Amino acid sequence: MSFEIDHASLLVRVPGAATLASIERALASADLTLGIDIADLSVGDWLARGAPGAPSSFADPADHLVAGLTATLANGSATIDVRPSPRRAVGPDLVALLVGCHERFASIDHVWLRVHPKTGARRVALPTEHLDLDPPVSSEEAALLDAIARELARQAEHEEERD
Amino acid sequence: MVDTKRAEGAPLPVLGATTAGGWGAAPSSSLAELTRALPDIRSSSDPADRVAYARDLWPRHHLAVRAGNVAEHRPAGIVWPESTEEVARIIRWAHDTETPVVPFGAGSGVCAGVLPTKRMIVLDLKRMARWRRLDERARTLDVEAGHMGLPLEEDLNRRGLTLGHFPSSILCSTVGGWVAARSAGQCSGKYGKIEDMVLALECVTGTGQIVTLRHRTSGPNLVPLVVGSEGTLAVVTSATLRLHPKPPRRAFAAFSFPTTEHGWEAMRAMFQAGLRPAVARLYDPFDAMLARRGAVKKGGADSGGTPGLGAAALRNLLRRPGAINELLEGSFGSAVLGGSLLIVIFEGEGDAPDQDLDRARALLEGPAMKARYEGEGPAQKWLLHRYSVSYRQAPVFAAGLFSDTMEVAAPWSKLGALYDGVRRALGAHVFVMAHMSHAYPDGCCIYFSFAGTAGSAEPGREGWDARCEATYDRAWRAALAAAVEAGGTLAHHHGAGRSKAPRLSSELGDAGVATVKALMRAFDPKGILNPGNLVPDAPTPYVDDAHPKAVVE
Repeated sequence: MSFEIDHASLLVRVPGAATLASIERALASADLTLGIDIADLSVGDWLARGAPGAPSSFADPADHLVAGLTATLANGSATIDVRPSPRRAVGPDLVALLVGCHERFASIDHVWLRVHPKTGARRVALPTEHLDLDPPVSSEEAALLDAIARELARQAEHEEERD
Repeated sequence: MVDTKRAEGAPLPVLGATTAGGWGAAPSSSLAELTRALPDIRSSSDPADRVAYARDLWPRHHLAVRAGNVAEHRPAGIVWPESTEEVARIIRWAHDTETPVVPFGAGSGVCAGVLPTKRMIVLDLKRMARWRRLDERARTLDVEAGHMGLPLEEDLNRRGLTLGHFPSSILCSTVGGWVAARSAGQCSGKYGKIEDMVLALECVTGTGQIVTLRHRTSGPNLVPLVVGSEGTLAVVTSATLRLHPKPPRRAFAAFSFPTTEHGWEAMRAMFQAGLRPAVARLYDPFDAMLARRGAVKKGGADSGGTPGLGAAALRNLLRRPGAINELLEGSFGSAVLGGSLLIVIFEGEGDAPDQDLDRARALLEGPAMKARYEGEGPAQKWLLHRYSVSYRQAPVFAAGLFSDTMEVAAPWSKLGALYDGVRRALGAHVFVMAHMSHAYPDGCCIYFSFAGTAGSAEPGREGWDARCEATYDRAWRAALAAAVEAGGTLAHHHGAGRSKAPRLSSELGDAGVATVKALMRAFDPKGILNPGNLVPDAPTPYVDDAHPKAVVE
């Protein structure tokens, strides 16, 4: 598997099937690291589970984990392409359909992840211990998630009919 | 305003029903139906109110107003709910009657996110401005969406806290507006953008259901879908935001560089070294020259005048923007103007700001960065006048010119191509300058400011205002295409609105746009919430190229 490192931006583009360990090995040769607790997972599975082991985005509000991605909708009908950017304001952030959603809506083909110098850079960490960052999913949220899945499936059917 | 809120025992006023004469087309019956269905909710169909709520601050509207088209897109009426339950009742009624509704904060959006139709009801949330819950231990605040920006920050400051969100529109924007457009503040380097501050949103979906969406790290997180959705998925009624201790101490510095590129390399070095200046603003040579002279920053909110130069001189200069831009952009222009200028402010407790500044100076004043320390003055002066520049637009339009801003972003590796591409595209039509005020470890936002005037007369574009509109549209078309071509994003913190929606497919792709539409159907099955916004193929008033693929230049 090939990994594309953007040294100037400290980003790496990796396939969703690549394991975190293999990415970390590739980064090490460039004196870079993902800066996470490495699990024995593919990056697609890891993000689908909500990126366990990654620092909270609230610890360093100027940073983030995923800069961009390409993903295939759950029924394989279309590919979403979110170009890498530090931030954007062009409607809903479609990355949220991937991270923590257990591939219910789409699965990652490639993803741009933030990487960090192994040495020389200070890691920013604002306190987050009193924030509730993992509340349970409410029934209203669950209903909305069902509606999203339904509408994405309808969209896929529509695409198939058009083809 | 005609107030139809029924005080206890008082009869309903009837003035709001009057539509004869005055401001053109009469409203549809949708507000009358709403007031019959929900008589206890404050509302108005007064012609003056309908004019006041006919637009946001998209500069293209200013051109239309100057041309005499004061309010072409007046809504049927305005409602002022005072609680989430009232919002839900309004939306349930709108859902049942298929009446379009647009949420409204303070109206300071600049991308035509608000552009009513005559059947549309404007839902102004400013009467929902209460603090719901302040958790001082966790440092979070649940605040209603209609709360204005500056009073919120001032109240927090009195309690020793800060939100850390200082958009230049802070005097004329609301919490809900910030969330809707993915707003960024001047201290984003330390506190992030608004999406980095939201822990939960209470909102009302297009069916009238009240839902609370919570940020979570290990499961589905719907908050980032609604943040930035510009009123198309749900009406945000409150937001739980992260707070910080009000910083007791600041450290200031300014640095000059031979070129803008040297300056952004310095910003990149700081952020990638783990430094987080609350403020890091890099001005290109022309913008830096204005800042050094104080021409832009010294004037207060009511100081009148066009920025830096007289109106007549500007009109003459702007007839040949290409030549001026070319002259100022090169190394000659950079040398004459004094190079680029970076101002930096660190804030925090104890010695931390000074220590961070020492680290920054060691980094920037090394031989690779070519920084020259300019003292504390420029940064301190900027802080004193940080909001002044936002009030300079009206005099520019009154002088027969136009001005606007464009905020795009890209990874650092593409920043040069983005800067050159957009600058060249804009520069063929308008005078352009730029600054960079939102940096991250992996990239940066470029904020282009531009001013233009009427181009040559052409068939159908004979009048001054029509010729200004033609120049304006051409500049935007070229600049957005260049941003996408360079690998940038179309918008960093102003949102897309109807002004950029025709270009969304070029960034998100057809599948991305179709996915956004699927989200709209999931949250709002009948499509009553701000219909036409964020939809590339929706009819777009004013702009000729709503369907850009059909346009041949």
